Parts: sequence; C-alpha cells; structure tokens
Amino acid sequence: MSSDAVLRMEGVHTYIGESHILQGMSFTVAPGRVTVLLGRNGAGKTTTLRSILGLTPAARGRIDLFGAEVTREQPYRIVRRGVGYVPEDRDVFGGLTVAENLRLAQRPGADPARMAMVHTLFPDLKARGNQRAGSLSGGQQQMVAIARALVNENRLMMIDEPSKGLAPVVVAQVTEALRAIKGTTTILLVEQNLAMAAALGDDAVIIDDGRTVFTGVMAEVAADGALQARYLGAGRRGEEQGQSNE
Amino acid sequence: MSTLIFITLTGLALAAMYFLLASGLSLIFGLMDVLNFAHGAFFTWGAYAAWWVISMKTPVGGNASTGVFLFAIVAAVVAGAALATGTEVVLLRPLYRRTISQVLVTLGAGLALTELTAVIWKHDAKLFPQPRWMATTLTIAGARVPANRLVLIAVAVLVLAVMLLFLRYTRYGLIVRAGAENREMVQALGIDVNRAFTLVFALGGALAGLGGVFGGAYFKSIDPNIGTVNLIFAFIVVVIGGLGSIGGSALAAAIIGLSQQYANYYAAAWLGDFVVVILLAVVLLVRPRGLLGAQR
Repeated sequence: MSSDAVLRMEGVHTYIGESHILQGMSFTVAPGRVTVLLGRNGAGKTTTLRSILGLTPAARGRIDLFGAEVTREQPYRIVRRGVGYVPEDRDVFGGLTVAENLRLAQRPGADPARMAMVHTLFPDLKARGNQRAGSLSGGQQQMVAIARALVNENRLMMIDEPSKGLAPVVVAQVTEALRAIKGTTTILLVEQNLAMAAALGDDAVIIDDGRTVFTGVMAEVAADGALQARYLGAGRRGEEQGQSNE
Repeated sequence: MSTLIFITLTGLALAAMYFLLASGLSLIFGLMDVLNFAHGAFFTWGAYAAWWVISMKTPVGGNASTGVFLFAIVAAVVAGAALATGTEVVLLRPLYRRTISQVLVTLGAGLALTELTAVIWKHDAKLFPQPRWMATTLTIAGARVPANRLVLIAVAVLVLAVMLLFLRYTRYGLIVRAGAENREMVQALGIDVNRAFTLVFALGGALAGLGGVFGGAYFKSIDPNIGTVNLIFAFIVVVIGGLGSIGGSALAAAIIGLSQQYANYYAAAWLGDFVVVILLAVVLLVRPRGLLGAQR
C-alpha cells in the first residue's frame, strides 16, 4: 500500500441498521489519479463513500484521509480537510437558487477564482444563477452538484454515479466536465456506466458484497469481459452504453 | 365601524403575539424536526424576566418608565435565548434522530420550567406594569385602541421583516433554509449543523422571550401558565402556516387571531377557540403541508 495515499481504508465494517453492508473493505486511492469504485447494485459503493465522509460511520476498521485517521470524525470536519462530495441523487437544495447552492457550498476563505472557474466550466449555471435549483433538469442539477464540490480547492473529489438517470447526451456532457477537472485533483468515482468509467478512470476497485475483490488499473477491467461478467454483471450493458455514448 | 376596527386591531395584536411564539417553533421544526414543547416555557420565562426587571424599578401600582421597559425587553430576550440554548445543548443534542425521546424531554422540560416559575413567583397572577404611553388608548377612525396593541403589531411586523432578511441574505439564513430541506447534505458541504441548531434554538427562544414581554403588556398580567396556554395556539399557527415557513406562520397567525376575535365578538364568547380548531381540521384535510409549507 502506498504510504502517500490520499485515502486508505483498512478492514472497514459498516452497518445500516441490522444490515452488515461493508464487510472488511480495504483499498487505497493514490494522489492525482481517478480511482473508479465498481460493483453491482447493492455491493456497498455508496455506503463506502458515506463511511469515508462519516455520514454512515464505520463500526470497525480504519479510514485515513491525507495521512490522518478520520474514522470517528464528524462529517463536516472530514469535508473541511479538503473533500468535495457529489452524492448519488445529486441532492441539490431545490428551494434555493443555483447561485445560493454554490454560495452555501463555498467555505469561508475559499478562493473567489474557484467560482469563476466553475462558471467557465458550466456557463449555463451562471446564466441560471437566479433560478431555483429544483426547477432544473436532471443534467443541470448534476452540474450544480459537481459545481458545489468544485467551488472549494478540494484535495479529493468523491463523485457517486454522476451518470445515473441521465440521457446519453447529458452523460457525455458530464463526462466532458469530469475530464476537464481530471488531473487537477484526486477523484474517487462510483460509476456503473463502464464506458464512462473507462473514459475517466486510471485505477479501479471492484467490490462485491461489501468486500474488495479487485484492485488494479481501469484498463485491465475494461479489457476483461470475464471479470466484468463475474463481478459487475454488466459486461454487455457497459458495451451498449459505450456505443451509445460514442 | 369603530367596533370592527377595534376588533380587527385587537385580533391582529393577538396574531402578533402568536407569531412571535410560533416563528421560533417553526424555524426549530423546519431545521431540526424537533417539536419543542418547552417553547411555551421560554415565553413564560421571558415574561417573568421582564416583570422582575420592571417590578424592581417601578413602584407598586405605577407605570414603568420607557427606559426600564426597554431594559426589560433585553432581559426577556436574553432569558429566552439562554434557556433555549441550555435546552438544546444539554437536553436535545444527545437525542437527535430520536423523535419520541425529543418530544418527551421537551414536554418534561416545559412542565418543569413552568412549575419552577410557580415555585419562585407563586401561582397567582402578577400585574404587568408598562409605560403610561403604552397603556393609553389612541383613537383610530373612531375606535379607541390601546397603544400596546399597535406596538405589538409593529414589533411583529419588524420581526417578520428581519427574519425574512436574515433567511434570505445571511449565510446562516442560507444554512437554515438548506438544512430544512436536507440536513445531511448541509453537513456534507462542511458545515457544522450543530452550531446552526444552537443558533436557531437561541433565536427561537429570544423571539419567545420577546413575545412574553408583549404578551404581558397585552394581557396586563402574567401567571406561570401564560406560555403553555399560548403554545397551543402557536402550534396550530405553525401547522396551518406550514412547518418551517416564517411567512406561513405570519399569515396563519393573522387568520387565527382575527377569526378568534371576530367569532368571540360577533357570534359567542366561547366560539373563538372552537373556530380555530375547525380551521386546523380543514387545513389538515385539504392541505396537510399548510398554507405556505414546502412538500416534505
């Protein structure tokens, strides 16, 4: 395991009520790279991100972020260490305007240039600044969710299924946006869409039933149909999605 | 005509008092999902803190000076805010996400604080001195209206305006509005929600304390149950207005205060409270989220 890892999980067990979701998850995320977390529905991908953030705290095991243990820390303290989070269902504040969503996300002392950068990346959001976020389309809400994580200079971005529920043309736009920020920060990406994962990912971690079953490079997963069929059950779907996005 | 004006202004003054109590309740529920049954006690303690300050500086049976009354307002606001902060930090913080426990603990705290008031100041009602100019009557279109009714309405309108500006233009206002929608996501943006909880509780307590002072001036006397009695109507205001909506609370308070007064005067003295309950039932059946409440 890399000692300069941005994130390291070791033997993490997490429960939701009586359900034992993460059953000893272990993996690392290397700095500056895009690590894709893959697995079937219900494998524990979202719970992994929530455990890292402390939203669904780990019951056992250890989570290190930027070299410091954060296993028992409050979510807001973990985020303030430099983590941007884009949740699975986007969770924009529908009653707030687009500008208010971004202003709320901007932590005190944040570089104002970040907001300018976000508006350059998503010009539509600047134009719709006074529009209620709840009235935006799914794709636009996804842009808001990503932009919220970008208004601060985060050292780790955790993005949960950015393509979920979006039309292929919107998925392509989101992919382009993520490609634009790739290299500027470390990214931990949960994604079921193999084409998108392959387009963005450097490294891959596959989880199954709450356990890590594969760690390696993304190219290896993209090329291994048997691996996909065994753990993702999405080999053909991924190929189809890949074709539809091209 | 003069009677209608008198009844209307009295109804609006009653509405203003309900609003001062209900606005804090509504904010607390909106952000924290806490049904705070101790809120009436903050109102009572605000009223008694103000009475205590006034009675120290005012001869028995006399009028309070304006300066002393202003100082009493500060004391009431501080008492309400301090009690609310203590309740939130000591009693509620360990119980977040345990709804039934929260209800029981705020109910218990409310009863204990009310009983403590009776232990310290006895059960009998205390005359509530106010400045001479507030106790005098003004003639408006032929109606002779006590000045304290108009002051109460003005204070409530001012509080409503300040609250709306606070919610719209300050960072904490933004946090409160966002937290009412999705508290967890607010945390995930790196915001200390517990601090926002304490602030909202303190603000709600301060408003209840402020309501206590003007409630004392409105009724001209206070007793340990003044908060508990008015809390029932404040809860009805919050439900009719929409949980978490300050504008909704203002609108509902006006509807309830006016309905009560019109029904009491034009129909029968006992009918006012009954009309309020009917209004509550109609809103719950036709529009369960309240007049201006968001879909939850």
